[in-house]
Amino acid sequence: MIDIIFRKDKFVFLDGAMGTQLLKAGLGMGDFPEINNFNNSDIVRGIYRKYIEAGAEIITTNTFSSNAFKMKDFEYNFEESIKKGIEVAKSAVSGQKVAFDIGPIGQLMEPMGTLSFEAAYNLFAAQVKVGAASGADLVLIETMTDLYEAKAAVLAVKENCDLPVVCTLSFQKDGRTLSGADPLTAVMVLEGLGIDAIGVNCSLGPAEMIPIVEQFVKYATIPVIAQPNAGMPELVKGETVYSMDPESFAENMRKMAEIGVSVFGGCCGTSPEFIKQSKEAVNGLRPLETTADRITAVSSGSRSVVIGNDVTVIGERINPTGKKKLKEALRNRDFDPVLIEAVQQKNAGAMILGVNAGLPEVDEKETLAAMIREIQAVVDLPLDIDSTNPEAVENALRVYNGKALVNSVNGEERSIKAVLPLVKKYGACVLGLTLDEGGIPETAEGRLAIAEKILKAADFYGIKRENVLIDCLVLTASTQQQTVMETVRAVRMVKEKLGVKTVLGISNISFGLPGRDFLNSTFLAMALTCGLDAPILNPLSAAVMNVVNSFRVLANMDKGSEDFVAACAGTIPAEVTGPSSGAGTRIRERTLKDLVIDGLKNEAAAKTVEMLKTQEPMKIVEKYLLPAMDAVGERYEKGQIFLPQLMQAAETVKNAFAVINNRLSLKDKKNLIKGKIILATVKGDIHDIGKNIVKVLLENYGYQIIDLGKDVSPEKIVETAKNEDVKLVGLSALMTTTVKNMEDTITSLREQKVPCIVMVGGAVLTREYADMIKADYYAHDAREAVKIAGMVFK
Amino acid sequence: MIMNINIDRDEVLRYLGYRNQEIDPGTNSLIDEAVSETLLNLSKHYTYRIFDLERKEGRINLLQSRISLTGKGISSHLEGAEKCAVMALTLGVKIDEKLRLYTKTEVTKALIMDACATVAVESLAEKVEEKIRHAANDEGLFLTERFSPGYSDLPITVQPEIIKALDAHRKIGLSATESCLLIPQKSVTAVAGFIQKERGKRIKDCEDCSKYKDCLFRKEGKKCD
Repeated sequence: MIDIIFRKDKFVFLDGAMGTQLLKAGLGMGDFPEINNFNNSDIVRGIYRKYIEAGAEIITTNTFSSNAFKMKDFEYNFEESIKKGIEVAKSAVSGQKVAFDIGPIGQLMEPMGTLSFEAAYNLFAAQVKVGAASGADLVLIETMTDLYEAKAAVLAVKENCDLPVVCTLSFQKDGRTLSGADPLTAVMVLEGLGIDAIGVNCSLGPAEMIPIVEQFVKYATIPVIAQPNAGMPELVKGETVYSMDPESFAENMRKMAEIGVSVFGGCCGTSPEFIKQSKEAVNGLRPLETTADRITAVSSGSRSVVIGNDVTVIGERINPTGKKKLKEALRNRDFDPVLIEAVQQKNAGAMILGVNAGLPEVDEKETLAAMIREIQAVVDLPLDIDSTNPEAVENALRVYNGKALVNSVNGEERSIKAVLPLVKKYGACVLGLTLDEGGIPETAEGRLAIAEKILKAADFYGIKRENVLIDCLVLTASTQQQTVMETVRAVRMVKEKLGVKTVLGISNISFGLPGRDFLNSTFLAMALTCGLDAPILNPLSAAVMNVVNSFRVLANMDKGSEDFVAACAGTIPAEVTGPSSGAGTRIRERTLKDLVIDGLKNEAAAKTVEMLKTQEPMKIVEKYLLPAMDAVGERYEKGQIFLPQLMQAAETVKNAFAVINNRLSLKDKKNLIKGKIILATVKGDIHDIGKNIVKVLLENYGYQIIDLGKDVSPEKIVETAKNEDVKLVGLSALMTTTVKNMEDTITSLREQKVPCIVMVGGAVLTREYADMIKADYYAHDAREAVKIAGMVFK
Repeated sequence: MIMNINIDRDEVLRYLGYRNQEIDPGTNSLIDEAVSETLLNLSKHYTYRIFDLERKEGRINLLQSRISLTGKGISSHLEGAEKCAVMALTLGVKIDEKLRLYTKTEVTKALIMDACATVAVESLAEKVEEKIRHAANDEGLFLTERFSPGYSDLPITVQPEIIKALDAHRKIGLSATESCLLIPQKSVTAVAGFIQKERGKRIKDCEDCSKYKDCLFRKEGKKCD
């Protein structure tokens, strides 16, 4: 079917704007242009016919807004609207194809907005089912600006019908979509999901679109679509006007044909004349043979990392194995420590982050996906999804925003059958481990053979060769010293004979030996020299990062040694991320208490490390940290310092606590905890800062915070308060509209007889309001929340 | 038209509840950092449309749209106006991204950057208002100050209709959640009337002020002036 629609040997033309033509015909738009499918179907049909006369081979249904969210107050429901839209389009064609048009939902998805991936998927799936049943020939997902939303739409099409699907995104002049994705990333993610053509529409005129479609053509192996506006939109007296004439439009379309675009159409401001002239303009040209670069790349929702031309560092630290703090965090579903690891690794030079949630006592399927959602909300690095559980991998790939690296598949039949179909379906890269039923071969030749087997299997499943990376496996030098050089040799062979990118987990080499940094560094240098592309390592280790940085100079990757010189100038990589706290201040002789009061985060952490050499951890807490917090709090209350200063001090205490925590006995830790508090920003509200300020302060005073995040439903709060036996619940709301949800939450807690005390805060709240919604306490600021907690847990 | 956004440091401090305390060098440099990082990460997307007005049963309906404005505040604000402009503008998603990050990792910086972004979006709103004012002046008319949903008694439930009527989701990436909060978070929608005679500042009462909801002074029972 798709071969009939998009042929290698001829250009394909879509239609142009419908809205512009309806306005020209003197029709109002009402709520949605769709109303005209019902009230003026003759005119709509007439417009289609004109486009067909002008040469359109595919017409798009007038159903851009026909989804359940946008149409909830429309005269017709979205199903009726889709059916009617397709019916009208079909009545206009004679042999031409009808593309069922799907536009954005109209609400931003998580983490920007509140719409979850699954909710978006369900909205699209409902549309697709109606569209397919109504006889559309293909699906056109258009004007997308968020790749995550586009992914939900594409999956909805793929999983609910057999129609071909094409997708166009809308770019800004700066070459990015509104949500920040670049063309390379769009191609990586969407082509990976198996769409049949990809391209750009709306927002720009054809001239501005050329540099963007150029990028698409460079990377896409599927046909590239261009559907520009009739010039750049101009705002004249509050009306958007498009002033380009059909001739100039067509001239630019010809240029696009010359660089490799093969599917054309028009967006806002275009008319049948634009299509006609464009078609004439490309007359005599033929579509270029696809010459897309065969690159190995992984992506987040906004950017891609191309592997192979440089050393690509994969951060290994988000893995609970052997990490007490992370284990505890995953068990408690407190992802903050994970996020800190993510940010620190990024700042230290990681380009991809490994994520692993494999703990026997947690539900990996659910935890891994939740962790990925949290990480991708704050860090824009692509992820390496590290799991041996195929269900967890699939769940993770589904919610992941981008093109992931699946870690891993191996040469065992069972592994191949379980993992590779997922890699294909979600368009990921996959890491192949050179082991199989017989274990890890001793020799490089044996490992090469397994790599070949994996590549063959990948090919069988339709996974492109460049999307397979090979890990020749590092065995520890302490127990299998004789195999180390075989691993290095295998890397070279895989690289040379198979031409695929290679990965190694560097830190494995030194298990069980002292001086691990030395061994890791030396091994890393050996492997890089033999063609290792992407080492998995600890980017917070200055020693190994120094090898990466210097290798990049010697291998002529860091041109002019610029990065290296910059790294040397910055001396040691930052262990703790943070602002340059008080550069120039003399700090040497000051006590920890002074440092807290002045909010010097890094210095306080360093000082704590030093003090721990001679003093008991509990002593430091009691003698310095708590009194410092009290002093700062008092100064804040007296108006001697203002909120940022209070918070900077609180963050400083937090850093010092982080150092001390590792040294506290279980008993001391228990003694320090004064009580459990739930904090949540209520349903519908997405403002998080106020709540987090309260959280940092309360934590410093020894309260264990269960942070439920923002946009939290009353049910979840009730359930958590019950299950965790929580005595104090803190609710935040910033808008008058969401205070209602705060009230509902309190009502639910009371109705379900949860024996907890509720404190509320937020910009719009007042004491009267708090009383009205039956809260127990009103905290007008974070300091007040600490006092309330003090009373509750007296 | 290129719109230059300034972030007035004094305004930032005001949002942060500053009252002439001594600012230590650390906090000072953190503020500088937040200001420049905000400037580096903001987009300046805006759009507006002009509507004829119809007054009916205590409401002001904007013709050719479903926008219907209610409340005493907006009625008196648009007194004498036959047309009005509705504007929508946003700093884009990048600022939100930064705030999300810092809220988790460096909450002080998040707090300061949030204030910077609030100042920046107000500044952008002023520039857009200025642009529309020029358009009004060209027609020999004057423009009232801008009036946003949430000021006085104009409900924010009008946001979805504004976004729809301005096609603001497609044009500038603006959307509203089910509870009518704008996303990206640092965004503004507002109405301004085209009037025959220039008039002085109308917004005198606290409750007509754009900062009404989050004004720290008001909460303490004070007034700015």
